[in-house]
Amino acid sequence: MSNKTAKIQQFLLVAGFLGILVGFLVANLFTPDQTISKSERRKLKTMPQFSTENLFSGQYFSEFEDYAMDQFVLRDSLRTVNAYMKYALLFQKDNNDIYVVNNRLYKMEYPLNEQAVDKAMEAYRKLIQNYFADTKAKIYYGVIPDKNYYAADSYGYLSLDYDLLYEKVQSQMKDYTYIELRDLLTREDYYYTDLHWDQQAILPVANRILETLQTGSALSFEDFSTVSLPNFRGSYYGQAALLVPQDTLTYFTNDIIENLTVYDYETRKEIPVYDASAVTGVDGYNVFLGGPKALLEIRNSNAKSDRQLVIIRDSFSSSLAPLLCTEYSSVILIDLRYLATDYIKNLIELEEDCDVLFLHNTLILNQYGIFK
Amino acid sequence: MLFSSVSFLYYFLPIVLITYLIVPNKLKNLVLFLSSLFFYFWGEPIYSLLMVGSALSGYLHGLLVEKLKNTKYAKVPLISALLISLGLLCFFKYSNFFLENINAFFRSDFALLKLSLPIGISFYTLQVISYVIDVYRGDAKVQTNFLSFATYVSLFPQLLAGPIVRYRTVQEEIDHRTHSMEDMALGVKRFLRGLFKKCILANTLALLAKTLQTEAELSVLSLWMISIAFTLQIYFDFSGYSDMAIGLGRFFGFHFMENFDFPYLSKSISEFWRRWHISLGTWFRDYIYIPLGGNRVSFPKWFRNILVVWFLTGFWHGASWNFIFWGLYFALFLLLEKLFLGKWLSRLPAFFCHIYVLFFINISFVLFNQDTLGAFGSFLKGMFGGASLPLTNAYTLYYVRSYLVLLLLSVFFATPGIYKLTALLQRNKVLANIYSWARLLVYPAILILVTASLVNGSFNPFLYFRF
Repeated sequence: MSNKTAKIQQFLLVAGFLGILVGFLVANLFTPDQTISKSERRKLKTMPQFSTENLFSGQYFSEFEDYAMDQFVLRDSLRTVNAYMKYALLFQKDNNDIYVVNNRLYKMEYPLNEQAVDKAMEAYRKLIQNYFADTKAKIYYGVIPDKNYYAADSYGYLSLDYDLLYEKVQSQMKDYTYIELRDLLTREDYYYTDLHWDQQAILPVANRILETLQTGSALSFEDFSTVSLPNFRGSYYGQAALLVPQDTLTYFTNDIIENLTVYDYETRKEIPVYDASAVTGVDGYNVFLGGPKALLEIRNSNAKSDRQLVIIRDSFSSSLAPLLCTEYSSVILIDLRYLATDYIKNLIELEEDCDVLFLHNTLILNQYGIFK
Repeated sequence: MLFSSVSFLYYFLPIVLITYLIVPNKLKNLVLFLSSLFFYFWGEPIYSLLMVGSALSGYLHGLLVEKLKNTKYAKVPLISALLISLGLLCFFKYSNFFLENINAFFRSDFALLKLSLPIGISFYTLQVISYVIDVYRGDAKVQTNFLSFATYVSLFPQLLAGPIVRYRTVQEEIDHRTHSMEDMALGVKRFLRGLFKKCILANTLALLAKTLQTEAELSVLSLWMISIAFTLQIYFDFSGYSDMAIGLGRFFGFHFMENFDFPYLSKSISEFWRRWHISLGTWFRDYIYIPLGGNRVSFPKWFRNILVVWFLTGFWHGASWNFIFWGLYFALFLLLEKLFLGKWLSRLPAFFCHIYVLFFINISFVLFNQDTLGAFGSFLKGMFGGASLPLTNAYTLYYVRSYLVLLLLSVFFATPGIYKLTALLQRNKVLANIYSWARLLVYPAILILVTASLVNGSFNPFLYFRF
């Protein structure tokens, strides 16, 4: 290599290095700050407040580093680079516990937190004691397996000890009617990029519940028409930071569903059963019943009976509940993550002879103290 | 401020490098000093004064030593400098260790001091001491310009994690250094290699060790993997920082000494310490071991010298008995190798010597990595199957598989394999030409990968998002 070539290469290297550093510096200084990260579903750090006290305690600089990381230009693209470095260069099996098989994203949940399950069952019992102990309410329960249940073993990933989890739930709820759901689902019944099940795939689940609750009705595809919403990026999409195809979110509708009214006790307003515009929002799954809500009531003026169904639920029930409404004039949805058990009676009166369904997915039951 | 942070890489560094390049030569030291002060102030606002005070003390004592040289008072400023520098180090680093031990031994109840350790004090103290001693010995010229001396002490590339730069090795460059595109390019390459070692290899190895440390999932295999991951991590962490320091120094026109020379290739513990943290090893050799008489003394004195040096080496690494025993652990091996083990090893095939070194170095880092001797004992017991742990479990196997390529890459980069490969390429003119241009893409790619990894550091997803 000639001396001249060497000098050109040296110059290019130094200029490239300085160019990247200065380029990002200028871009970071002049790009407006973002308020939220859609991919992580959280607020991003803002420029820290300057004060002499903050400066000399070192807190200002510590907060500035958090801010600099959060507001870095092309942050999501760089996270994608990082994800591919882990998968393609280092051949790591997961990135932040997210793994991908055939474009389908899964999240490893491990290990089983037995105390968390016990605590959740304690919350169930407290609710039953407070509201249904001396009533004619019929109590049912089921546990929705998370997507990892159907994938971890076959793909060599870690997973919860599901047998133990189900055994613990059943032993602590043995006085009530159990609804088995595991045999009704497969990994294809969940979205590619999200933790939730696809509404199109849960008619068998809805039917088993309706059957167990003795409603006398059964649903079939012919009962519904479908609406498909493209560009659905589930919660794992942002976390994985990989270039996988987006989902299409499809929901069932028919005359009954279209005539349902949903009352949100938090905002004291009616909300739609499906909000198609939410599909491209922070959480696309918010299409169903407005997303995370503490207390909702779905009212069905065309119901075949006056029965009331109370579902103690998580987000999985947002897509399930509209399918269960046929037989009920009122379906109450209570999310104990956002509403304390003791507070429910201040907001709503539950029927003496209602049906009560406890229905949570395994990820929720495995989080200690998630219920208020 | 850490090198492996967004604030450093994309705010501090570009501003400093550009400012340094555009100011005239006479202002370059001022730029370096002010930026170093800010760099230190970022991490240790209050202790910045301590660092400047330490530099001032070294500077004034240097002048006094020079002035009183060849008089009967020559040793006074030397001793004074040592007392002040070591006094500050002892006070900030070792006070609580002494108090804890006094309390334990005499069953007293002295309250511990609410002190945090000033970052870099262990490094800059040794630099100041070596300067004053060198001036006293006549090995270094006295520095009469405080800005130049303070620049040397506070120079941000090596301030936090070395290498321990002796004043005499940079005394010419402090005031009269030249800058060339070749040096800058070499500096950039070295800096980026260090960044790669620290951010990609060391940080990921640290994550593996941390993941495997989950109490409920421990197994014999996981303990071995933790120890191996930590042994690799500490090398890439430390040598990565040294590379970054040497690289940035080179960019600014300084030629710092090498600090690591593929230590895990050693065939004896003595050789390991000639390749590991070289600037520290040579510092203790030149300022403690040799002044005590080195090995040109009677056996008992030589034995004492070894113990003193390795006691201090261990103690320098941290104020806990673990570090002291870590130092003495090496003293034992160095003594044994000098007495008979070295001869035995020289007769063995190199493979067995490497196994011997790697095994005992790995154990040494288990000691280094634990907070107490009890924890070290428990860990060791578990490694050798004495803690009733399973041989392995699904958790361990999953993470070993997941990090296997990283581990293999780390082993590869802990050897000069990459240099041998490139040397092979250089033999062919066409390949050498392609390689020389390809490097221009590889280094920016390293910077982008590191940036991606740093930015991902704030990843913190919320599954359920409610404003």
